[in-house]
Amino acid sequence: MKDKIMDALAYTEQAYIDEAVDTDIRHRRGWIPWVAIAACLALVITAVFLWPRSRILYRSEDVTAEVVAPLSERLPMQSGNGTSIYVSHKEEVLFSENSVILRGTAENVREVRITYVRRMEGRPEISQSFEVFVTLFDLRISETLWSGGKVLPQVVTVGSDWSSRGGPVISQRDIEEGCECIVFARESALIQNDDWHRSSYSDLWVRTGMFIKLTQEGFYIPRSAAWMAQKLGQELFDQDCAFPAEFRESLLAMLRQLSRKHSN
Amino acid sequence: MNDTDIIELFFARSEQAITALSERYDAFLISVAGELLDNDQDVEECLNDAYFGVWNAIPPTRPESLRGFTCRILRNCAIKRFQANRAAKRWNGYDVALEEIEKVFAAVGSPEEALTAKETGNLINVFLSRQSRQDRILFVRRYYLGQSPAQLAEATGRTAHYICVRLHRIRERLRIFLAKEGVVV
Repeated sequence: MKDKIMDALAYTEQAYIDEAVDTDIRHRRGWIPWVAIAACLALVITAVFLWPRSRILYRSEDVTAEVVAPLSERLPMQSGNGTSIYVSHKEEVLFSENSVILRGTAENVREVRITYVRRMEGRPEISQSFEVFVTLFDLRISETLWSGGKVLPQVVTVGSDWSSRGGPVISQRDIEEGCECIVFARESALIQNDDWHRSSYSDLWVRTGMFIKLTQEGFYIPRSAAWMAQKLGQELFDQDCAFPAEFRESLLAMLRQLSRKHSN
Repeated sequence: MNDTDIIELFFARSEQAITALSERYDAFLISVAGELLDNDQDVEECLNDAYFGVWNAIPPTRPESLRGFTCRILRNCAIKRFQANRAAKRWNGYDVALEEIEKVFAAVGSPEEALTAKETGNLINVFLSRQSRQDRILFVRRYYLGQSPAQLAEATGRTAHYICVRLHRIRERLRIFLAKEGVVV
């Protein structure tokens, strides 16, 4: 049979013989593995550089605002006294892109962390940090809280229980315990008169603003952005504030920027 | 001197054509004949026969690949000598390749359906036409030219084991193909 097979192989087409003797059959990797490697590298680069940057909402020398975690709509947040804050975003709001104050849309309602790190002169290994947690959500602010010169921010949202004490109490206990709040809100988010508690639930409560809970000191910023800046600069920052001066200046600068934008 | 120039010399019936062909492909042709024949003297004689065959064939033939064309003539010469050596019980490496493929043919068909060598060769050509280029080259190099798996591994940059596995798969496909055609040699 071998002879017959040999004879049969003798009829192999010349083209196949030419191909066999003329072709370099050395295995080469080709371009597909290189493309795959390049794609993986691109993914890594994207993950390392682009994605974290997209989380940064604001950055200056002292202050960085970054997204901590998106909050789902109507995610309940427990305050100190057990009152729930529900996240919602039915309106667009408000603030400039490059300031710490954000434009609230359905896409960027999320928790934000602002980190301030102060390094001691000559002692770079020692640093002091402050963290500010920001959440865009529906809020309601009682203007009456400003009476008497006492800054007492209060925030409620749609769906939260109304306190039997006659007003929103979402951060009341925190405030009483010395943990104050800072609230940025656009003008339309504020209750325009003292009859807020008698007003329509839906008209007054479905508002979007920004709530910043500070660990040491807090401010309440009603009405216009210009007013915010003025109030912050003249009344609050000039007081014996627990914040480092650099942090105050950074925050104030942002508010001034916002103020100019709103004035224009 | 390239293939075209050498072929032109053959057409001009210049004896320099043989010299040029020898200078260009001597080493390659010796290696091909060496796969089929163990004896250096046999290889040398085959080579001379092959050159003479090429001289007789060109013209009128104008081969597309001078190397492939010469290789075919050389292989035919070497096979004749190989068969003579086998008759004298002198075995060599090509027997191993033949035994591999012999099993494929032995596994299919029935004696009543035995085909001629030409018919079988044509079927092999059909089979080869359906294979990938790489597999076709491996098949021809292994079973037509008698190159060993180690040589093929060196040529491809793969391991000998990889070559053996791939050749096994090619043979398995050939067995299925021949079974469908109902072939026995």
